[in-house]
Amino acid sequence: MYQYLGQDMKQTIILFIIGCLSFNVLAQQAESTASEDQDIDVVEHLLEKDIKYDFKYKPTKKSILKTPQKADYKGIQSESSYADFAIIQRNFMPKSERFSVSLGGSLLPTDVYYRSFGLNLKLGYHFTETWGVELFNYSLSSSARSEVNDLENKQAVSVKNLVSLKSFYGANVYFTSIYGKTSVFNSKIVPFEIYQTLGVGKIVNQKGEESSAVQLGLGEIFSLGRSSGLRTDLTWAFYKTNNIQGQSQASNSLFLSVSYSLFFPEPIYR
Amino acid sequence: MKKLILLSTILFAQLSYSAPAASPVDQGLNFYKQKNYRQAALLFYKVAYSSPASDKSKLAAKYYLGLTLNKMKLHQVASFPLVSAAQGNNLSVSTKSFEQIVKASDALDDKSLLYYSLKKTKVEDLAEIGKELFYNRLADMYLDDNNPDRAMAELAKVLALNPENEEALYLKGLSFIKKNDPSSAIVNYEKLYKRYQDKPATSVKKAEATMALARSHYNSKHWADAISLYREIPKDNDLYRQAQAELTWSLFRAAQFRSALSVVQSLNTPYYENFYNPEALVLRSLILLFICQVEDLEKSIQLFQKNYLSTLNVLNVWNGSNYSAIEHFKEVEQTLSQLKKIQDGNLPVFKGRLPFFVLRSILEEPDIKLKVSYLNKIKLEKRSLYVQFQGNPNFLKFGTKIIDARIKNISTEIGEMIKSQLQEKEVELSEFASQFEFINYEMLNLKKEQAKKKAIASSDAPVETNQVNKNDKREFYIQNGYQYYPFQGEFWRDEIGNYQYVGVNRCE
Repeated sequence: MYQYLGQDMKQTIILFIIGCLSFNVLAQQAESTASEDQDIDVVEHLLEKDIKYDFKYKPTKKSILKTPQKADYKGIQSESSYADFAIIQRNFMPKSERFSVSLGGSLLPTDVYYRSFGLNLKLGYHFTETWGVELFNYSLSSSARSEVNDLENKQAVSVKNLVSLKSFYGANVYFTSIYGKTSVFNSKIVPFEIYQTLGVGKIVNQKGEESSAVQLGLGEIFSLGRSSGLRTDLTWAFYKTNNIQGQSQASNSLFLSVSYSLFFPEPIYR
Repeated sequence: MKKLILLSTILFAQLSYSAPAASPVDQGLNFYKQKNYRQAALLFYKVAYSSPASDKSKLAAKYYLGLTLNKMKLHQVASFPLVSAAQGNNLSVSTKSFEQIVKASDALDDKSLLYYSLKKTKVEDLAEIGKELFYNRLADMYLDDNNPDRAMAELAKVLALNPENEEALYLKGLSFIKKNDPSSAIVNYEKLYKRYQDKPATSVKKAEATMALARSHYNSKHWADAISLYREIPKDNDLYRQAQAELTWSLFRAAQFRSALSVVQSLNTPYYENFYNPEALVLRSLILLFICQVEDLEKSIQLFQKNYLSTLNVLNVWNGSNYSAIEHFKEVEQTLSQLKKIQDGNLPVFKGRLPFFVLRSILEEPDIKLKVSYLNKIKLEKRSLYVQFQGNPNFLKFGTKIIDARIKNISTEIGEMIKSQLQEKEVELSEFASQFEFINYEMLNLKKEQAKKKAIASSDAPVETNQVNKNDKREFYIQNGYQYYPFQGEFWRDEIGNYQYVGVNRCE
């Protein structure tokens, strides 16, 4: 039958069929949107219907002042009453009845011509926050500075170190005299302690000759954690030793050390 | 011929579109079993909302759509087809839908959805979710309705199933408190407290159990027990500030004024400047009045006038202007963004019309906190929806409509809750202001008396400013593992909770 229809008629029928089918699709989409909207509205109504707002408030108007955003506690106390308050707090890095081990580098800064540096190792035990004992060992090596080479090469002047140290070991009494805390960039609080040490030991020079020594020390330990700290100290050792000419000579050396300390066991309180 | 082929092709394509594929729900279920949830969801959505399927199929499709979306952690979008399926005639589909709704609402912390489904569900029908969870949520609902007796009936069922259920024990204690029976609450909370003793100090549940037990002791007027429990809350716990406030009251009620003043000193430091706490200032002033410490009392009164009277004025004007819920919500958004800056370690820039510290404290109210958390969850869900259904504009439109409608209504709800809280704060602050007027009057009287005594006393007599520890040396503290720092007007963060009042009673 289709082949007997006129050209225009055929096109009209095709367009009509396409139109009906498109209308069907659009109607289905509209129905799905309407169905979704209905679902959403019904559920929203169910969820919101039990909420009640009950206001019995009757305000009175006043003129507005500046809006404070936070509570300002500056000046809450008069200066005369400062002494009525004290801060009593647990030590952040307690030392009592704990062992410590420190490892770091040391430098002898007072020698003009020779550079002496090395490692230091300290093992300690702290009886209380104030008192402790420790064993120490410095292992050192020396090398000539560039000035020595210049003197020899340019001035034909030979320079020899009178006393070159190889190691220094002994025992100390450790005394903490000062404690405090410091603020770093206004964001972190670092507690610290200043201590003094007094001890005896043995100095060994480059020739392997040993001699007794007495040492005085001053140091500071910054607490990095509850069981660790950064330690800087200055130790002044006094001793007698043989120089390069074989003569006994009273001498002293200054050790500047920076080391990392660990304390154990863990503190008993949090 | 060509036209015939063209016509047949078009007809066939449309028939393919119009007529549903052979059991598309089954196809969707196959995808679901293969864990291809995205495809499954799209198929179920099509059957539920687009295709001319039977009502029974649509109902099933809605349920499966909800189930699949729950698996994809799109709980809010899942909840709507589930509620729709639950309202259908099919009992089996209804029951299963309610089960899924409970799961979705639990994940979202949405109480309105939860309570709606709890009321419609019977525990015998539950298969997937635990009966304990069901009874606990039911008890929670009754407690919110101030019906502790019914809550306890539900909790009894939980404890019959599992006597060690921690949430039930906690809610049971809360029910006793609401019934004004703190002694029974103590017995209950002690079980929880003992259970958590082995947990680390940072455990949140341990702190909550400790606070609950401390509050029960406080309500029973066992001051010493309450004090020792409040002191157990560690400084890095969220409950620490609240614990310090309640500890101050316990010490005050136990007449340990020096200790109370020591504790309240921490609350009145710049560390807590972003918290609204006029009560701490009132308590501090009362104690200073008791010990005749006039100078500091005057400072406290001035500080209250500076910080809180102006706040009262702002609240009065704001509440009187009758702003809409959305205006209130905008202020909340400002506050939340500034709070995030503070938490990230940046300096906040206060642009809100309401005091930041008031709104910040209001946002800590449990109901409001839960609503804000829910709002944040559905905002995240919206982002997840876009990621998971990119390239499916119809489904995206559907999901977005649901979430946007919820966001709008939740924002309004939060705004209304804030509005109510601001009005309560204004009333509360007015009462504190009246108390400060009384304290001011007493302070002036005291000042007059002290001036008289000073005038009568010999002018050559030295002014004594004693401290209780004046004879103690620093060594005393150091040997006992403590460090002593005198207070010099500076506030250090690590000193919070370590202030000690070492002054004496100035009344003698």
